Amino acid sequence: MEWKREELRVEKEIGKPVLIVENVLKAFGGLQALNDISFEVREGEILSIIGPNGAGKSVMLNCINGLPGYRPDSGKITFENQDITHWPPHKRAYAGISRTFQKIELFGGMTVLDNVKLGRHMKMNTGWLDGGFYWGRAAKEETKHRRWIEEKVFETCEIEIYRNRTTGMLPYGVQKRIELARALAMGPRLLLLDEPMAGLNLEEVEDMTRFILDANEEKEWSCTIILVEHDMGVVMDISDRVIVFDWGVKIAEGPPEKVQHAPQVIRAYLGELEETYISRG
Amino acid sequence: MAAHKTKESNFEPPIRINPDTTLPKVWLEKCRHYGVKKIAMREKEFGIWQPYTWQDYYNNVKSFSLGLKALGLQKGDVVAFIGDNRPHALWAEMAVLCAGAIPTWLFQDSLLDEVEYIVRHSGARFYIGEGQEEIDKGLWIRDKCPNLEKVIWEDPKGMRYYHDPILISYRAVQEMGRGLDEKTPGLFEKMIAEGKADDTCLIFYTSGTTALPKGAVLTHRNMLSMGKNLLWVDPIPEDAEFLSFLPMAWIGEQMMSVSEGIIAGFSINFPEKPEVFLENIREIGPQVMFSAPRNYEAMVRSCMVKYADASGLKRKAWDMCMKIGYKVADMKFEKKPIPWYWKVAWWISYWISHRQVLDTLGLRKLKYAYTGGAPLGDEQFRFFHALGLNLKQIYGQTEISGISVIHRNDDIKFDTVGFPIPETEIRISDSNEILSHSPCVFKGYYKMDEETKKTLLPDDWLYSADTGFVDEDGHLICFDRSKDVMTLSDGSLSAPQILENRLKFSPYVQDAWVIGDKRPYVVAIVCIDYGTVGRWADDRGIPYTSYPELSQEPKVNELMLELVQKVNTRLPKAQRIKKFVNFYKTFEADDDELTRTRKLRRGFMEERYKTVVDGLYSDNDFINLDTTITYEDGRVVRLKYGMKVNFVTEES
Repeated sequence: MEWKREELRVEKEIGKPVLIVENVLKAFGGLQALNDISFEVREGEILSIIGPNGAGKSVMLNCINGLPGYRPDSGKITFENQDITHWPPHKRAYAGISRTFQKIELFGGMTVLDNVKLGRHMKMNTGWLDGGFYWGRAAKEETKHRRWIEEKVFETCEIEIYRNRTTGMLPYGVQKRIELARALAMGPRLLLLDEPMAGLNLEEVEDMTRFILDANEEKEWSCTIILVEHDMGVVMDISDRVIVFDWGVKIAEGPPEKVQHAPQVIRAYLGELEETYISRG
Repeated sequence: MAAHKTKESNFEPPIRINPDTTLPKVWLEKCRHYGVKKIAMREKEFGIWQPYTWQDYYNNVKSFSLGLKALGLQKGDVVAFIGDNRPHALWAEMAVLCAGAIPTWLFQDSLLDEVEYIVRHSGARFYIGEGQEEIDKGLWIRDKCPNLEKVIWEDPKGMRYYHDPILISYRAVQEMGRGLDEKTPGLFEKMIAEGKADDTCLIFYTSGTTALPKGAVLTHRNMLSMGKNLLWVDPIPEDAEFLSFLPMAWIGEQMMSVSEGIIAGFSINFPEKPEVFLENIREIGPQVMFSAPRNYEAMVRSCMVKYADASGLKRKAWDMCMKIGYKVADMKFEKKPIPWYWKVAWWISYWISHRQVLDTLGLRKLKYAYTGGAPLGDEQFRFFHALGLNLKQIYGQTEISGISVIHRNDDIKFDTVGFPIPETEIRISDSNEILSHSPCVFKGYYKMDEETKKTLLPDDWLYSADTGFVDEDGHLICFDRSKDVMTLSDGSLSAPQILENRLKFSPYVQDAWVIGDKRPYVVAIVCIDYGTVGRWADDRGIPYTSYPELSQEPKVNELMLELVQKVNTRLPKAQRIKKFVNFYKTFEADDDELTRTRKLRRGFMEERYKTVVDGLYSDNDFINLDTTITYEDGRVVRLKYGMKVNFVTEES
């Protein structure tokens, strides 16, 4: 039973730009990691950033996310009409930007539930005193959030059976899902996914694709997604638009089928065709 | 022919069956009797056991049943079911029964061609699936199944773009049912009242180790008699807990959840996901459990792995307690009186060790633990009895609505299956085939008169195709499927299952396949357990990346060789395994190697793995296999593997 590609992509409404990146420059010493990058991300779309290794894809995500050391040298990043270029990461998180990492960044010694709850932490309003005594308000609030995690996050990412297991002991594919779950627990409007398929086997890739589409299309999530991914099968199947980076420069932008055949893209991948332009589909 | 009658029970049967008794009628009585006062079922969802009372059970069944009626369901129609064990599935099944229609269950993991065959052969008009995966199967096959009118889905996850007019949601059907109830009150009760005991109740498509699936037709009388006679032997109190985790398409699960569940009125619990039922068992602490040998084998394996990881003191304590356990269990098997000092020793070891082990496994509260479907190995059987678990072997088939023979509490022998249940007679034919006769014997195979004639005698004696004997105490011994019984080089008979179970007692072996019928010697194909052997390799710093690689690791081959040698020492000469290979993969139902109830399909395997079998009977010490594998979504990939042949030398 082979999936028809059209079946995965459906008609959906793409709204106004939510994230605008304007003329962003970022250099590490003499290396120009991002060179005058500009693009928009529109509400409700899945935008994929592709490119050969070292093209600056992850740097771009880190700049949007505000990771320390990744402040643009010049240029502007606007999220929902607010200039977030100089905001600290936690403020961006409060604004509704959430992400996953290429290398898993979970607390290996904690349970799955605790990891996911951590993602929900910024939505809690009770202070440390209430929390410490765990009376009325704090207990009630935790119950409310726990319920939300169980009903929405675990249900979407299908990790309910692991809830009380120690994260570090779980298989890699499951940990990838927990990363996504933690990012979703924040209830984000913009979700940055850094190579969610890396290191997964065929069946796990299919599951992960399904979860990403759910996060994008299900009403309760409706996340706008920026996806950095090497698996071209997945990128071509689920993206609304694709941006191609090469050596810190944006070399192409457009719908997947157009980008796939653009001569400059083929040139950028030439020589790396074997390793990078892979698809499991 | 040796006739064999049941042991008489000395108390009243739990229910009387007259020509008007049907499952829905008994169920309706229970609903009225318990109402909101008693929990009928629970499902673990969102991390919490969500309860449903008998009133909820009634309301949901009623609305769904009337909804189907509104969609045009008629008496005698067939409805196909597919999905995991969930309350909604049981409600829908009961709803179909109430409307006088016939449910037939598909295994949740059935591939498309199996689904297509059963839906088309049964002529099902409705197809009820749990979620997107099952619904996709329903939509794929509909062009080939002309009778199919509606596909009903329950779980909305992933269903947001499914707008096909053939689809309708579970809730929408229930909504229609409520509408119909307002218009014509009393219709539901009227539908139930029309049923007769000899109406068809369920069709079970047997997984078939050989040919196409056959649909066994069971009546209400069959199903009710099953529940009645089993409860007559082992009464289950109404406040008992039961965990429903076996496939709904298997008669064993229907026998417990439907036949027994409705008559006894105990609570049925549904695990969160099938993968975690072992953890859920512990949370529920059931009083009665029915499971396939595989699950008991898995429990033994997990005990042994934990034993290997435990500290020295704990291991000493376990060794001592198990020694006492085995001693007392063997005295029980031999029906010798147990001296008081052994009783005291057992009691102490129970509190030191057995109780904790049973508790960890979730078996501590069990009054009856049944194993059936295939024989459980004698070592495994003794293991559980040493722990003090009342584990009983049962014997039966789909065609007799579940079981016909069971161990009695005080009369358990690990190499037998016990005595017939009440109202059941067993005979051994001249060719040593087990024949049975009871009110549970089925009507025949659906639309397969030829097959029916081969299995069912005119006077309702059922042929089992199993070879068996009756021992000196009157216990039935089920040897193996008649076609699987091996004639060894010295002319003696042997059952491959016995040898396979011996091998499987090791925590390192997940599966085994023994060949030796009319061959010069016995050989085995062994599937290592990836988890335990993987950990064993980790501890010894042996690197591996995959199952095929680990299975061919020289150290792993040595480990297995030692194990087979150990098994051989307890076998007569002709039965000893001479050569074996560690197989490059585990046996899977998706690759047609196992039936959906996880029995080996020997004939098929001998054909498919002819190279391997021939290799084992040649002088080669290495076998190259060129094969195809099937992914879960049906894709097929071609692969090549090499396997080392291990020669087992006699230990001096």
